[in-house]
Formats: sequence, structure tokens, C-alpha cells
Amino acid sequence: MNDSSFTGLSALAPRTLKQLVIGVGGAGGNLAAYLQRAGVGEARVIAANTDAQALATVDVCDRVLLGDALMRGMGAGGDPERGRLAAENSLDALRAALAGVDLIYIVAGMGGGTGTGAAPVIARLGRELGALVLAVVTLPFDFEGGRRRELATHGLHELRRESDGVIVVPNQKIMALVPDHSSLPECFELIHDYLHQGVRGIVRLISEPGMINVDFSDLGAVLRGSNGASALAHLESAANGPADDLMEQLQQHPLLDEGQVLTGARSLLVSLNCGPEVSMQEINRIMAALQAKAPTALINLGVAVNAEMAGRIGLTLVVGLDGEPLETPELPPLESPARGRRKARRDDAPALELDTEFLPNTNRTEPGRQRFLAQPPALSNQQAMDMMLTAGGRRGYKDRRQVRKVVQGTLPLEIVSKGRFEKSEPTLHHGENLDEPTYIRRGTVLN
Amino acid sequence: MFRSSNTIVGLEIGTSKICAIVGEMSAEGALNIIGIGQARSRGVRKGEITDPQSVEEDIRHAIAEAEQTADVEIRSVYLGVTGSHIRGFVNRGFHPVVADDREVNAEDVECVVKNAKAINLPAENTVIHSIRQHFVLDGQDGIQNPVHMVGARLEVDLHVIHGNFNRLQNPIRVVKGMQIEVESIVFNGLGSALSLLTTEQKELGALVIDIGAGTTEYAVYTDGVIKHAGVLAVGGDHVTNDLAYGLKVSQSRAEALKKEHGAAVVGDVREDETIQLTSDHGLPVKTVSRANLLRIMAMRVEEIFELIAEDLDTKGLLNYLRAGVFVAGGGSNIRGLRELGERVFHLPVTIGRTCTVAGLPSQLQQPEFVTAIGLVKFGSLQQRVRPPGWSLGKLIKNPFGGIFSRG
Repeated sequence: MNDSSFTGLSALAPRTLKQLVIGVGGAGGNLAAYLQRAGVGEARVIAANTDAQALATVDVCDRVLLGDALMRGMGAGGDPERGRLAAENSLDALRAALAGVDLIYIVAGMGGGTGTGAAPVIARLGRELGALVLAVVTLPFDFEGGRRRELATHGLHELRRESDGVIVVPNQKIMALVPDHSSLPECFELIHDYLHQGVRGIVRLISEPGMINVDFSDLGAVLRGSNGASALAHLESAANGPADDLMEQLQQHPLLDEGQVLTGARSLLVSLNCGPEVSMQEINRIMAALQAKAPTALINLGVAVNAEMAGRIGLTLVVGLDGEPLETPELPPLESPARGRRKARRDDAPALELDTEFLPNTNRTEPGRQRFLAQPPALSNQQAMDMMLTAGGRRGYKDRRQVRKVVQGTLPLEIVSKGRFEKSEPTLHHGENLDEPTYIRRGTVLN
Repeated sequence: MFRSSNTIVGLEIGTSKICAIVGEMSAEGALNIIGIGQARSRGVRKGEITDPQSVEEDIRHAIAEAEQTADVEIRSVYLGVTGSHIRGFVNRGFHPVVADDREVNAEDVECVVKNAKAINLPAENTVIHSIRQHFVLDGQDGIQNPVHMVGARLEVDLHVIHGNFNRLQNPIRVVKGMQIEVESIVFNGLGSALSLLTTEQKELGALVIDIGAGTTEYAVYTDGVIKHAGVLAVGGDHVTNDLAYGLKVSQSRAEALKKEHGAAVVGDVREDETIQLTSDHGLPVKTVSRANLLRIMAMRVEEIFELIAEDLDTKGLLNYLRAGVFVAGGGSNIRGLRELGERVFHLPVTIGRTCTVAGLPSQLQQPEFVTAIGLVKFGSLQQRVRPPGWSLGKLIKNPFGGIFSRG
């Protein structure tokens, strides 16, 4: 498999705004293929993966095989560190793919090898190339286990630091929405659909002019100040009573935490796509409801009139949240790769050389042979030390187990319980759920 | 036949209790309450049935007790309904007077009422009550009976209370499943108003708020007719739930705290005042802050009142309530409710006692029974307006149709 066959990219015209969707890793590739199939307006869709086989089956405009020299297209084996190395190894190919693009959507599934490790690298590269980077990622199902979630969380932190905005869709949350008997493909279809709607909404708002226009820079303004914490949703109303219907949907949208996300919003980009006959009253009602939900947010409104949308209203919401300040999370074992990366950034070539030299050994060993490799030959103490620090991903099994004990998970904060009304129909009043305690909705602090 | 034809039974399926009250019409047309049956309600949330089987069981208990105390056999009931889906609005119909001399006749009146009933509801909704208000003749308002008056254009306002057909069917089906007929369904808020308000109060203008466990119903009367009605699916259960969540105690303990220490206003409470919770053995298990308890509860109750005030304000009715606000239901036992109500509505607040039925035993004067007694009252009014050829079969076939009375 030849690298260049995957990366034949045309030069991009600089005048028009170029948007690119890049699916990273297996899940990302699948999602990218879905986006390609379902259509995302003017954006180009490409995929990047370490696994050549998976990459070949993905039907997108262009493909980038990552880390061909290291892994020979065999995949990252669920190790984010290898995903990262692979991406850093293929920087040139990626640079060619991302050159001249103004807005990059990285779609990936967190928790595996390639998506988790490579996506932050691609995000950083994209930003270096001057693009606005928006990552749309999924978090693993609960049944995939704690380790995977840990990796995903860490990958997410990295991604938050490297990109302008990250939109997170926990798969588990979507699983709660599908009927019990639905199949795996149906579940994925739903996840893909939610993400597709959101991404298509953004692509449209950027590429199509509106009556009240919002554009690239508005999107940038919403995303930039939020430390990478953001949410994205696209809703479409039914034909009658658009405003009420939208607000109802808003209350139930999984990507908005049933509307809870809005309460903490710092800034809000609202893009309405409506038919020519929509009344000012309807728009006013939608905006008033949003304003009531997000009283402190800076709201940026765009309205596009579209004959297709007769009688309906499409609402795309990009929510900039108050993201926590971006320090590297206190995850000791995963701290070191970050340090390694910083070093690698300083002098790219040597670090990579070191990695590539070392990698094939661990990669190609048959199960029994690992024992023999325990003492790497011809390495001075100093070199061995360096390697330990730079290549965290190659830690032995024992090390990793230790790590697991140290890492402390964080509990989600502030889950407002509805107590005995958990299962009954919510009592909604002007977009507020009256089942939640009043004092919480009004923000009273008890002492 | 055991049942004398002048027995009227009101059945209220509430969120916390199910209550059946038996009334009897004397030969002179006066209503007498002769029996009552109650049961704890288990299968109802926010005023609507969530577990038909246990509801059926509870109704059976309540009915059996009522039959025993009244010494009658209950064959049919007036069934109270509520739920967040129920709404009220005013619809106006008009009719041109065509007679040469422009004199309004009975046919014109019939016609205008028919026109006013032609309302545009969502397909799944059905009318529970349509209550005639005043007639307007050539712009002259407040006409009670236009027959023999002269004019060209006759209009009438109809207050329509409607709700979701399927959700209204649920309680009816449960009751019918027990071989008890439903004479008619009655919106609980209307029932409360019927038993609380005297004619003068209706004439002056009054707001009735019935704070139940699961829902809060309200109805507004001015100029002697109902002007507005609504339901909030928020009630005493929400207060309990808020307390359980905010104070981190169990629901049952929160319920006890609410009854014992709760109030609708914070009042002067010291920040360091605490309430000691004890276990079954009398040992202290936890202390909670009294200030927090009051704060959580006061905010919830205040919100209920504010939501109602807001709704009435948009309808422009707040300035017409000269008789004040009447509060009924279990929620009216909350301390400080009067003070809070006066602050929110700027009106005198009365804790409601049934006053439209004579000779009530003091046990029935509790605000919890206001609605159920109102259902009986509604039934008595129905029987009074019944035409001579009235038969039971008509209404049973169509429990929603033809309920036409002046509240």
C-alpha cells in the first residue's frame, strides 16, 4: 500500500471558504462515510486511519493512511499513544490533506487507538495551518469498560486543548434513546444521524448567505472563548406550530442534555433556517424562549430564508460553554506522553526516529517473544530513561496496571434529580421543567 | 331498586387520595351530604392515572366505604378529571338576527350558541365543558337573556374547557370497568369553584386555587360567570420532592417535615435553627436546617402562585377579582399561605370552606373535600336542569356530550 495513493489532494482554491470533514479512526471513518452519504453541503469529506483495511472500505472523497511506516496499515491496536505516533509520523500527508482549508471538522470516536491519539495531532496541525478546528467526537458506551472511558476522557482533554471547539456525544446517552430491541446498526445510525444534522447545520450556516447573516467569524467567536467546551444541535420543527414544537424538541435533545446545556452557556450561535412565510412572532417566540433558557449568554442570531423550508423552521444551535481552564488533567500516566509530545514538537525528527526505531519490535512480536525483548540491546541508561519519558505508550503491562489505581475518575457534577417525577411526563412551562426544584432553577444557594 | 333516583355521587381520583361523596336531593331541591368514602391513592401521578389496577382497587375501597356510610348502592358517579392537558378558553359565536322586526327569539339564541360551539380544537382534544357566558347584542355587553330584545347582531361567549380525549378516557374506563356508570365528567377546578363560591362572590369576581398533591387547578369567575380555568401539573408532591432533594432525606420524611415544619413564607428564622430527625427508635440521625427547609418550600409555593398570577395577568383578569382569592385542596393547609397569596396577588386570600352546601358535618368542611363536594354540587345542578324525558342511557353513551350548564 502506497502512502501517496491515499493522499492525492488537489490544490485548494483560496477564495471560497473551504470546509473539510475528516473522520479519524474506525468510528470516525464510519461517521465520515455516513456524512458523505447523507450529504453535508459544500464540505469535503475525507478519512484518516491507521488501519488500511478499514480505511479502504470507507467511501469518502479521499483517504489518509496514518503511520504506514510504523504499523504497516495494521491499526493502532487500541493504544492512543500509537495512534498519536502514527499521526505524527504522517504529518506530511496530513498537511497536504489539510492545506488551504478554512474550517476543519474532526469526527472521531474517543476511547480507541487512532481516534483518541491521532485526532489531537490532526487538530493541532489544522490550527497550525490556520484553520478553525471543530471536533465532533463520541464517547464509548458504558459496556466498553472503564479503561476505555479513561482513555477517552484523556483524549478528550487533549482534543479540547488542541482544537477550537469540541462537541461531545456520549454514545451511552443515545443508547438510552433507542428502543430496547433495536439493533447495533440502528443505534449507530441514530448516533450518526444526530451528528450529521449538527454538522450539516453548521456547514450550511457558513456557506449559505442569510437575511441576517452569521458566518465563519461568528462561529469562531462562539467557539474560541469557551476552552473547547461546546455543544451542537440541529432541530427541525414540524409543519404546524413551529416555535412550540422546536422548544419541545429542545427539551428532549440528547446533545443539549435536555436543554440543560443552555443554562450554562457563555455564548450562543442561533441559526434559523425557515420558509419565506415565517412570522416575526414565531422568531420572537423562539428567541425569547432561548433567552429565558440562557439568560447570561451572548446570543448571535442568523436567519436564512429558504423556500424548501415552507412552514417549518430549522434551528442550528452552537453553544459555547464555560469550559474548565485547560491544564493538563491530573492523570500521571497520561501526563508523560504529553510531555513527550512537547519535546517532540521542539525537535521533531530525532524523537520520531527514536520512536520508529523502537516500534516495530513491540509491534510485530508474536505473543511469546515479548519476554526476550525485555532488555533492549545497545541502549545506554540515559537513552533508556529518555525512552521511558518520551514513549509512554510502550509501557509494560505492569506499569499500566499501576496507573489504573492512581487515576481517579471525576463524578459528573450537579445532576438535578427529578425524584419521584423521574419517569412521569415533564411539566414544561415556557421551556422550564417545573419538576426540578424551584430553588435550583432560580439558583438559590442553600447553606 | 335500592338506589333512590335523587342520590348523587361525586368521585374524585386525586394524586394522594380517592374520595367519593354521596349527596341526596331533598324533595325541595336542597342538597344534603349523606356519606363519604376515602382511600389512599397509589396509582396516580400529577392527577393522571399511571397504574389502572391499583387505582381500581382504591376506588373500590372508597366506593365501598361511601356506600356503607350513606347506606345506598352506588350505580353512577360524577367523575372529577384533571391533568396538565386540560385548558380553558373563551370562544365567541355570532348570529345575525333575521326576523323583520329584529326581535331576538329563542331560535336565534339556540343558533348563536351552536355557532359558538363550533370551535377549532386539536384533533385529539375533546370538550369537557362549554359554559355559556353573557350575550352581546349589537355591541351591548352583559345581556343575560336576549329573547324579546331587539337588535341585528347577536353574539355569545362560551367558555370551553377541553382536554386530551385519550387521557380523559383513562379514568372513565377504570370506573366503567367496575360496573359503575359515569354520569358525566367534571373538571376538578370547576368542582372546587362550585362548592366554594357563593353567587355574590362569583358576581364580584373571584379566583379559586385548588392545590392538590399532583396538580393545582384554578378557575376565575367574574360577573357571575366563569372566565378562565387552567391546570398546573405542580402540587404538594413537588414540595415534598424538592425537600427530599434539597435536604437529602427520604420522600416519606420530607412529607412529614413538610407537614410539621413547612410554611409558604420564610418569615423570621435564624440561620442556625435546626430540626433534629430521629430514627424509628427515637435516636437522632440527622439535623436539617430550618432556614433551608423554609426557603425551598417557600420558593416552590411562591412559584405556583406566581405562575397563576402571570397567567391571569396575560388574560387581563387580575383586576377583576374583587372578592379575592380562595384556596382549597390539601395544599391550603400550608402555613403562611394567606400571607404569601396577599403578597403575590395583592388581594385578600381566604382558605376555602365549602359554603354552598348546607348542613355539612364539620369533618367535611376540610379544604381537602372541597372538590369532591363540588362534584356532587355539579351533579345536583345537572339534575335540576334535566328535561323531564331524560334517561340515563343518553349520557352514558356519550360521556362528553351535552354538558351544558351555567357554572
